[in-house]
Amino acid sequence: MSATLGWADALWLARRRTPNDRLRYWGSLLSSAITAALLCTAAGLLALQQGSVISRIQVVADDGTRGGVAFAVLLVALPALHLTGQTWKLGSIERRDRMRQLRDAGAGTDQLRRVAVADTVIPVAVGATLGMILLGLTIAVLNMSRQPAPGYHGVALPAGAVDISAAMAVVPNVVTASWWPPLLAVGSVTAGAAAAAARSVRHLDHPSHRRPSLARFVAGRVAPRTARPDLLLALRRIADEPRTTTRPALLLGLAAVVATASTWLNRQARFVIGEEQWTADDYYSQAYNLVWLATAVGIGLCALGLVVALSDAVVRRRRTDAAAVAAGVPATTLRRALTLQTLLPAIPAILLGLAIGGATSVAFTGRSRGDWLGDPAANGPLIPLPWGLWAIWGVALIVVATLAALIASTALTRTTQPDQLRVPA
Amino acid sequence: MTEPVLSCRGVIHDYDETPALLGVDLDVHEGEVVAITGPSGSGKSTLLLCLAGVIVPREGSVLLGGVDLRAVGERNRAALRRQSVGIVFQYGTLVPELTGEENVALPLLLSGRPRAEALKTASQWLERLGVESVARTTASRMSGGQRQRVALARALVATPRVVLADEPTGALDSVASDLVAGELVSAARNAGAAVVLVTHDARVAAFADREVHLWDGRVDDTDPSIGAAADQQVLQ
Repeated sequence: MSATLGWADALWLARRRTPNDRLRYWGSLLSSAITAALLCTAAGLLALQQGSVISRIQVVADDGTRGGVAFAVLLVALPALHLTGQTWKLGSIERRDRMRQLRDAGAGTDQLRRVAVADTVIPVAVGATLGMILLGLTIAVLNMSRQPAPGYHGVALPAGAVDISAAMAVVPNVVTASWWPPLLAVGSVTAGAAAAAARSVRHLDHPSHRRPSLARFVAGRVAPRTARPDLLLALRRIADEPRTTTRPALLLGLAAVVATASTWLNRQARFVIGEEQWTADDYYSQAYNLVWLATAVGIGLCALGLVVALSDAVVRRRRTDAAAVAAGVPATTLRRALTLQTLLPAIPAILLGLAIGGATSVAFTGRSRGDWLGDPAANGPLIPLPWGLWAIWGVALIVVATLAALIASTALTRTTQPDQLRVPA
Repeated sequence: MTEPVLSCRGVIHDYDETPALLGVDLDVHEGEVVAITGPSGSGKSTLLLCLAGVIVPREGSVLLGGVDLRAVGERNRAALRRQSVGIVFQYGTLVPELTGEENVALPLLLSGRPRAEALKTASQWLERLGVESVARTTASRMSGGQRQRVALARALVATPRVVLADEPTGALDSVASDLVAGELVSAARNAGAAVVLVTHDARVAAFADREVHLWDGRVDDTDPSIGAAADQQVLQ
């Protein structure tokens, strides 16, 4: 192999047409489009000139609260980033083998890095750019009418209605605020993907260092004590590859923090302001409803990332799972193991998130009307804690995690077939 | 003559209209060691999976301990496999995240045995096969030979009536092959289990009491000199 490898040659070496690669390209494209769009929106909000925004969403129009909206959008970008990372990992074992083969043929480390970057950067850059084009198309459509998108009047949520059309009306202002947000979004997503790809070349011969983690420690301690095969499998898999399920679990925990805190703040605000004024002035209700909409979007992205991570793990294990089924292990045991592998980290993270969100928000505002108004004379009865709503959030998050595991487990029907016994190691 | 512990009659199977087996009859008696040989693509592994009930053949019957595997559902076939059949594949195919002891104990745990008892039995089998040193090692960190012997222990731990081995020495060097093949046959015999051993290696086939040669999906019994040894000579 020549000492200097051109990008065209690197791309030729990187290109493959296996089903895993196609899935990875499309997944990377879609997830990087979403990530870039969110990053661009957050950056655009920060780039808006003071006093320049007229929007029915007052928290966006108000210069003092716009930064908080940008922060919230960045929080939603976290699960989108996780999803991008998971889709990029699809077929990672075959890719590593491919790199090893190139190295055995004489490729140097820099050349391998170039191949890895060429393989990764193109779908990510195309996807990120596509995200900007879609935002641009939205601008064009909305500018034509100069009105919020007609027809769609909202989604009913427990605490009120979200006017989706009003939310969309702010998009033109956000994206045309300045030239740098779209460049920053595309550049950062692409550069991040390139850096990760270049770094991956370091671990061709051995798995990356098994860093200590709480999940690995706990699972490793509990596994020798269990007699249930499904629980044993789940615990050993958590100990072996904790990141597969602990990262999504942490994101669900973060969603729980946001959900419980905003639920309490909403209750506090409604109590203090009074229902009549709450209905008349939609400043607060818009803000909270946007928070819950963003939380729902974040949870959806997190669930998608979890499905991708679990499905990839199922496919990677196909030969051993097929052999286990052939040896008599019931397929239901493997399904239960996958669900347990998901829920064992998720449930504690969600419960902890509920506790942290509830405790910090209540501590911040206090329990009485007087606390919120800063007027001890206005103290009255303590505002009841929204246990029911918090419980609903907790159950909803656990259901989301369970559904993600059940969706991923449908891959087991295929991966435990006898023909999977012959796939290479 | 006693009833065979495993038998098949007129087994026909194909993969998307590509024929794999074209009518195979086979009887395996208690304690017998049968080697199934043949060139690549002759249907050896397909036959083994049909005998295990992993694949339901398109036609024909497979009887395991008198039970027709075609007449029962997958759940019951899996239960039968756990109780009566031990399977060893070419690469061991243990669960990589479990330790050697846990891999061997898995069939017992699935049958509801208490953990302590299952691990103790597993530990005894590992010692019997000379791999007690990997009892606490995860399967992903074992050598090929160690993995095969642990897989063999897993196949024997539930005292099966028959052990089915698909190219158990295929990934090993000649020294390790002889070791694993010898241990497979002697351990199974000591446990009173019959063995059906799929192999293309004449040295491994030599451990068997009887050799059945497959050719293009059929048992080839026209020439006694045809067998794994003859296949290897042709290849040389």
